[in-house]
Amino acid sequence: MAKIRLMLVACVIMMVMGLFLFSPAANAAGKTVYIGGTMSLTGPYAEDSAAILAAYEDYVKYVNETKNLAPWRKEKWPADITIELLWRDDELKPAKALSIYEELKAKGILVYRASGSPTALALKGRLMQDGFGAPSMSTGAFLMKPPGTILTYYPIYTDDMAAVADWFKEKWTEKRKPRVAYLTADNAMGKSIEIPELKAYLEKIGYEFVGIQYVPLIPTSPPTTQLMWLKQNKVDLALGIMVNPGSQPTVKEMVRLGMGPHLDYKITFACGTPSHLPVFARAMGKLGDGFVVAGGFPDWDDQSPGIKFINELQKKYHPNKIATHTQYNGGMLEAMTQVEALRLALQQVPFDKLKPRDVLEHGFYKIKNLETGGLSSTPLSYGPGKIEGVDKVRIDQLQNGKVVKQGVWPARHIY
Amino acid sequence: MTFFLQLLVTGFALGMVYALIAIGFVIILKCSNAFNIAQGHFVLIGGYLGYTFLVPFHLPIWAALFSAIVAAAILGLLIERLTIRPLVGQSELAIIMMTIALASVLEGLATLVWGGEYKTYHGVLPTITLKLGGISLPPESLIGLIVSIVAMVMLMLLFRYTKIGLAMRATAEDLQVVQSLGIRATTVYAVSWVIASVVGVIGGILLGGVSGVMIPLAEIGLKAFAVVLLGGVNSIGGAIVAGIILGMLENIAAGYLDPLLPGGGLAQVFPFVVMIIVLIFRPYGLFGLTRIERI
Amino acid sequence: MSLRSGTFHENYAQDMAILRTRLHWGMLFAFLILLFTCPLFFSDRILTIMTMIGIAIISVHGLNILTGYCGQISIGHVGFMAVGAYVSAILTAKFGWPFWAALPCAAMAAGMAGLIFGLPSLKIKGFYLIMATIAAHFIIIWLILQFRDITGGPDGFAVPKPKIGSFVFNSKASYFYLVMIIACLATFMAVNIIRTRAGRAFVAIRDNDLAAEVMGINLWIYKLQAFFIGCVYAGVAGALLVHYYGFASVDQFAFMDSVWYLGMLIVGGMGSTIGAVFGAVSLKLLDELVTVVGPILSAAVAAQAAASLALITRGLVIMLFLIFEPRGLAHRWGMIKAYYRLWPFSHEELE
Repeated sequence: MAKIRLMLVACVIMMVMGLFLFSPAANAAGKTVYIGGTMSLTGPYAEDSAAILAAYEDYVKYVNETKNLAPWRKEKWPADITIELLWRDDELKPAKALSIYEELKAKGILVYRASGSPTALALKGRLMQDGFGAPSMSTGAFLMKPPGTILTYYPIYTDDMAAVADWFKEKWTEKRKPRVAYLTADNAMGKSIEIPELKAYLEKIGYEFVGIQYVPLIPTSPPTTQLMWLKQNKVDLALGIMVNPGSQPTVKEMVRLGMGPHLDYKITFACGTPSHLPVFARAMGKLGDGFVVAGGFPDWDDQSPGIKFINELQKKYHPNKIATHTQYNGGMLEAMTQVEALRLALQQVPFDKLKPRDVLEHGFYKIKNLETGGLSSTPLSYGPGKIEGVDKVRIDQLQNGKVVKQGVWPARHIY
Repeated sequence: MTFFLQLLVTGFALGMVYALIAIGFVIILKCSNAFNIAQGHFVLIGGYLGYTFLVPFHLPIWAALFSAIVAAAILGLLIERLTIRPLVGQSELAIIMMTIALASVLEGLATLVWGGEYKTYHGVLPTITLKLGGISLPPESLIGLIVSIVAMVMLMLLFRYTKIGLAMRATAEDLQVVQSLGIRATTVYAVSWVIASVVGVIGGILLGGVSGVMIPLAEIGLKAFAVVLLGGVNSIGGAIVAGIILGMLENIAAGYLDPLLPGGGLAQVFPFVVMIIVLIFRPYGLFGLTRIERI
Repeated sequence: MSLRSGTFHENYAQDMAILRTRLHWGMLFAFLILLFTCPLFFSDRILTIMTMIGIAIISVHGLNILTGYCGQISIGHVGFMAVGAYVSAILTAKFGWPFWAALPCAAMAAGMAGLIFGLPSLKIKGFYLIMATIAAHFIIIWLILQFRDITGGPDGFAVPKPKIGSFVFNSKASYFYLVMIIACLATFMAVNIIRTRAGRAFVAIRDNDLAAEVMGINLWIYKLQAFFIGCVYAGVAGALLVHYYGFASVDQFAFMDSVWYLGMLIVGGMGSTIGAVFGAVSLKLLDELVTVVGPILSAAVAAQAAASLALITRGLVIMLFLIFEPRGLAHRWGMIKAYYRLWPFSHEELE
């Protein structure tokens, strides 16, 4: 009897929670637009997502308070409209991302963000169908086939690799052809550079392609075997897409085996963006000298206006909890792009009639040379079919434990 | 030839770490007949504990190790008391599901406390460099090797000469007889969980020194299962031998087969292929006892 | 099953019927009508959630037959879903097959994969079998990555929406109907598979396989049958899932999802068809709740708190069920029904 009663109470609680769960959003008074989308606070991108979330929160506060878009920009955000951040944690699970998408759509969000590739892929079709523009930190070649409305703010991985190859070729002084191999993460992200187009490009500009070796995304032992293989096959340049937990132990083991640009066995190892060099430099110091990252963000002590801006924002809004992960830059770029798209669209379409597709067509697609204060490799431009925001790839190298910019190389659009 | 020898040596070092993790698993299995899916998560927690004591607290290495072991022991006790003991007498599946749920909670705790961040302590652990001709051993692997051997010897001594160790072996043999002899089975269970947790945490500190700590580190537990299967689920010696065999096979696969295959990544799936083959042809492993069942 | 007094069974058919009284029939129809009119008054979001729940129910039914009834624990269920998903996706996207032809092929392919990886089950059980199924998951995913020419490897490929004749299941509502019809059929089949000779053999094997063999049950045939049926369900669920996403990629078939399907089974109640439904519904709803609470918690405490919420609550729910209600919600449901039936003369010991 007591148990049954308990059960009934539980049922009532469940129903109340259900009502709470499915109740429509209360419409906030005044004119409010939402930005945001899904974050992946749980799972492999937890750290990156937390920094991105912090950036979104800071930027929303900044725009609402000052109505400015950035210190170096003269345009103003419309004074009568407030921005609100709307986000949910999708745990990087496609199944959750779908229902979150429907929820946020019903709440009236006009722009979107997709976090990692698993959720971005599941949402791609829906975003296209509903006309949502969506910046994303996922940037593989799969977003290009066919180009959807998921927009990237750093180069896609294959363009990163091609730019590094160009950079390395310029410095190459020996007569023989340089030998190149992939040393990449053993997952969808790492394997996305294994497309024939990239190999053809490498061979076209005068490389000899040797082969591919894989390192687990998060290696639990040093990749000695893979590195020995590179040495065995006399590789001069190793290219790969890894996250920091993969590239740090790999470079550490390389140094131990005497492999590196300044060591006995000359080899240069280059990764694409998710191996953030500022994070890498902090953890490895001089140990990782010679490591190259393409398409990355500048370090926190960079002198560009963008970095100064985000440092100030952090000090202003959460001085006790400064986000040190460099993906904060990424979050800032996403928030800026979303707000800029909304601003441009609001100039064309009145607030009450604004639809996601208007924001895409009059907003995102009209973003040309959006000045980011040096946060991204180049100013961002988007358009129908042009989802890669940058035209050039920034290349950084670790020298004496410091991030040193090597310059920018053109994106070859290989996909 | 150097290449081949290097593969073997690296594989050997890797195998010792596998073996260390697998041992924790075997101990729980032997004593309380519970399959601990969360063993990999002990490793994860261990890595984060190692980071916490070594980097923000700046403890010397021995103090950090000691603190981590104490924390691990408390964790093991809590887990046994709160989650495993209520299930005594329940089906095998219930206990397995409990450890799966435990894995989820431990992962959640790691996210809550350490933010799921990638933490490293490169160059904090002592290293020994050994070079034999053209072959070199990864320094952390050597440390891992030594710690693994010490831990294993201590466990062997425990099982052979101490009262609790004997009680543990007896419990594995026949629970009812042990209980009628006046040995408290609950104590035995608690001790086995503490040992497993401590062994896992030590493994975690070692691995954290090699490659840093992050949530997916827990997946190494899955590979340790393959070791356990190959060695036979109730044999500690078997776990060591199987760990070494598997570590070497994995490295040879990565060195020779990977470049030949179009999609590669064979090293990652290799333990599982071994697992299936062992299950079909020698289900009780190399050193396991064949289970005889009666109706 | 006990009934209200005054209900008489006069022949075998009546005694065996699932729905015995007019009230039962009425409730069933009321439920079906309610279910199929959902798209009229629910938003896209709730339809999406319900569609996902429907797919989970199909998958959990398969796992229930394999694990709940036959006692063969599998933590590789998502691997078999991936087989079904990729077969259906490849047949429709690359060979232009119609959906109605691709779906049975997907189901069969998943079933065949189940047969292959079920082979070790003849020699092993318990933990060993769990390991075999875990291995199955990773080997399947690895194979999918290997055949890049057909599967797109890590890049995956776009999958068209299902089409029957000239009708495309493009809207949320139409896909909801598709999934719910299949889910209802799957539930109907699951209830009845258990009532066949094979179903009874499964239960005998689960309770004591040696005794079952002595009784003349061919373990070889029935264990493989259980694997086949369980994986056919998984294949159908996987195919529905991949067409719903509109994209096939191995990332969508994460290993941990298999674990959560088992969790659904625990929460719902092992070896009970209604339990499978309860489990899928309740854990999916829990997920949604966690999603909504996350940002609130993040604003109140910290982002980490929101991030760990999902993992910790899910783990805790399963723990609590294992300790306090090991027979799951289905058992609770049975007690409530008994309470209602016997009212006002109920007492505690209704088991």
